[in-house]
Amino acid sequence: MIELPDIRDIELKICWVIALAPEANPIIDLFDLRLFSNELDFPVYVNQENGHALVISGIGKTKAAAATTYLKTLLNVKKYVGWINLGIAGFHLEPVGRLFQVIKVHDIGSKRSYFPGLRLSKIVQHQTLFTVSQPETAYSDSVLFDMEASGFCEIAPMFSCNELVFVLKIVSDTPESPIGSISKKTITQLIHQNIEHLQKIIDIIEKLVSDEKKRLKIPEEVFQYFDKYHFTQSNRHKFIQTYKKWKSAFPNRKLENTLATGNSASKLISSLESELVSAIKEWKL
Amino acid sequence: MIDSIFAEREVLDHPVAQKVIKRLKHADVFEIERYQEMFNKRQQNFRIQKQNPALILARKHDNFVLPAPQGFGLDAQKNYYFSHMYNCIYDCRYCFLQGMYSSANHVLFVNYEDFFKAISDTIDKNTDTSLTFFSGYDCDSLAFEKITGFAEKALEFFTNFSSVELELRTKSIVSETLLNRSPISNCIVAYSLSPSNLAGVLDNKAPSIERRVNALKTLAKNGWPVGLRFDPLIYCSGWENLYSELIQDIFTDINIDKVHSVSHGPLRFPKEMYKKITSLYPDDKLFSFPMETKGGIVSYGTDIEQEMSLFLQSELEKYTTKKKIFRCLV
Repeated sequence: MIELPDIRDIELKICWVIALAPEANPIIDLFDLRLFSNELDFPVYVNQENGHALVISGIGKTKAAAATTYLKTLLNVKKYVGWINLGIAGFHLEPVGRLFQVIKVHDIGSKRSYFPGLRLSKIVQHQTLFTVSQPETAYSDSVLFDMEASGFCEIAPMFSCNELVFVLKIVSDTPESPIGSISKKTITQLIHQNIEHLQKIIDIIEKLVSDEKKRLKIPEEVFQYFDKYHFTQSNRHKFIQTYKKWKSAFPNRKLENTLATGNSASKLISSLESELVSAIKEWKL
Repeated sequence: MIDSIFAEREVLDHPVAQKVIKRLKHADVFEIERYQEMFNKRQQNFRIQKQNPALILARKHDNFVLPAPQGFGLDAQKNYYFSHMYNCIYDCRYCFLQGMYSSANHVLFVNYEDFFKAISDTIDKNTDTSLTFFSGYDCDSLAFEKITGFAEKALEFFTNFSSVELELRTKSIVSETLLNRSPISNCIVAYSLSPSNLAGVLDNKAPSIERRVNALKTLAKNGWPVGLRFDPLIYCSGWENLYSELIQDIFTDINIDKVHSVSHGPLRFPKEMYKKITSLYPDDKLFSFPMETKGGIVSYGTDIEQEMSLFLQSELEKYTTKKKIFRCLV
């Protein structure tokens, strides 16, 4: 167990939601994740250095949804973070061990469908998945079967966006390789044998997260003015918006120079606006 | 290229859907119930989705033909538009589609027959009025033609209504569908144009201006009426020279009789749409310009709009008659 850090200090990139410990262990090893606390309702693992966090949800869509919410709340996960539900799934076709990105999740119970994630077509095959409440042994449709994904897909996009929510499933059982024969060890092996492939997928997701963070994050230099001057909620919003325009127009200018003479929120905003207006004649795209 | 097709179960057997699936033979096909379950979902990220949009095949049930917004049309008494597709394969930074839909996926409505029926009904109801139908309001009319074959069908249809005009608005240079057949005098192929170095920055994934100008000149040479659409007008330092050179380039070596109309219009966004688009691309220089907001519309402001409009008007009048020039105010 690690010493509980201040959650504001944790810069996360990817949150994993995984049903079972044997599925999670290879990811815990890969990213050197440490148990956050053993007094939590769901086991949570974190590595502050590389920005990965993981929650073990247990079996079922309700638990998957609850664990996703729990992780979000516990670590105050930001909007730009990617979410991955990784696990095993039943499929009508061999071979066991094949990795899929699920791009359509259909909940058999509620009849609702979800379309998670940017489709990473160049590096991973796509498949439809049905989330069921009991293990599927008839393999009655040519789709994957699991018990968690729809719960995860119902909740995770609220905390980020649909395109940063990924469902990755590895075939664990088929009509030829029935579910009864899967041991904990086998499950861990199935994940292990896909680690290289998963790493490629994670690299792409981390790039998406980095771009999204750049888009959404408010630069630190803005906050010093919030501490120094009184901003109404509306002025605060306007200051951020004008700052973003100003920064895009003058990436090399220093904010402190432009705002040197301002002594109120409205004067700070009008200083930024004035510089933009004075650049109109020489405006370049 | 499109790697995934999501098709409504009820259209899977439609001949157009079958053709599209055959043409995109490397794409995976997934069944869905209704396109809205995917297209209208909340929490979608248009910017990320635009990196790899899917194609959705769907049936449109109503509103096949709609009145064009005020100020959109040319000189017809009544203007209508229809959208057989939502979204565009290009990624032009000023495009209103970025703020219009929460999804960047392409929706193709495969029941073309219902569009033509609705157009036909509209024509029947307006026999004593001049009519123009605009295609390419919610998509590019020709960019996806090799896959959809819609323009080809539309041309066949409008051949039978010679007094009614059809405008195909495009940035595409895929003009085989047109060049492989005799020109239709009531079909105007209208090109969206802006100075080359502005288009180079803003018209992502779209053909260069040089190629667009070549394509429109080839069409004019082959007898097709062409439209020139300087819309939206983009402001920057030296814009006068840039637009002046562009207009000169276009009118050099073009069959002037085939220039059906020229229109220009300012860069404008409804306030909420502007907010949505700028939040997608906060670092884009186009949106750092100190725009004005008036009456719920975000624009460069009256002074710049007026200056640009007057300049364009006077430049265009050097090459064509006033009656062919229109100011678009949508």
